[in-house]
Amino acid sequence: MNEIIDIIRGYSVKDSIDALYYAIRFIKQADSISKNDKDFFEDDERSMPSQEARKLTIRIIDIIEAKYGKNAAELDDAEFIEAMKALSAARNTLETPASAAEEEAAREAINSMVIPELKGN
Amino acid sequence: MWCTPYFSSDFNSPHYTVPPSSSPFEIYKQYQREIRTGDQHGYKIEANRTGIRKGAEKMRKWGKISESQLREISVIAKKANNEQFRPLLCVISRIEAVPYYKAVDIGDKANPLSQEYILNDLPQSVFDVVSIG
Repeated sequence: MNEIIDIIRGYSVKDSIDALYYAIRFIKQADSISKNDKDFFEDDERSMPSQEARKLTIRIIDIIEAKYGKNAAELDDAEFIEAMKALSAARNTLETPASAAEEEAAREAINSMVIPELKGN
Repeated sequence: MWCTPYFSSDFNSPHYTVPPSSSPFEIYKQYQREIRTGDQHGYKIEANRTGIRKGAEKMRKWGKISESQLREISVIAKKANNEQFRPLLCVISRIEAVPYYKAVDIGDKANPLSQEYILNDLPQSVFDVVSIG
């Protein structure tokens, strides 16, 4: 679904990330969203997506539904996984390559991650 | 942070209305399965990488992190292996959660009868972290 990658190129990285996030949310919950007329953009007020991000989200969902010729709620397991992979692949195109120093810093941060202590310990 | 007063979704109670997509236990199991089995068809962790990136963009917008910290978080979210997405449960005292509470509109829930809430800026001091299995 390179069309998704082509479309997000016309938007800011921030709006593109938001749109991919809400498209993932929509695809995951498509069944309950369609049954309950749910607003899948619902979030903490400060986290609400911009109008541009909303429009882009709808365009991305339209691409996915057009590809399979059905509503997202009707996707079978294989189609669902393929769509989710396409959304992840699109996100990866938004990342500028990390420098060697950034990769090393990330590796160190990952290796230093610990499970949070329980309250009172 | 989205939360619910119910842990699982398979109670035989007419009052239990949280659907699997909003059930902490179901979400927990899904992450655990993807990590344990190296599930090639898993999507939860990949979706979470996008969610982390979205959160970092918001933090940058609000001035809570610098541009270099945003960059660092983005690289970590991309490079971290699946093991690093091991699920933990946050158990929050209802009383302590109240100041941070926002009700979710009925139409915005996974199920209209479901009890789901959004907590903003919840400090780490008001919840416990639990690991299962």
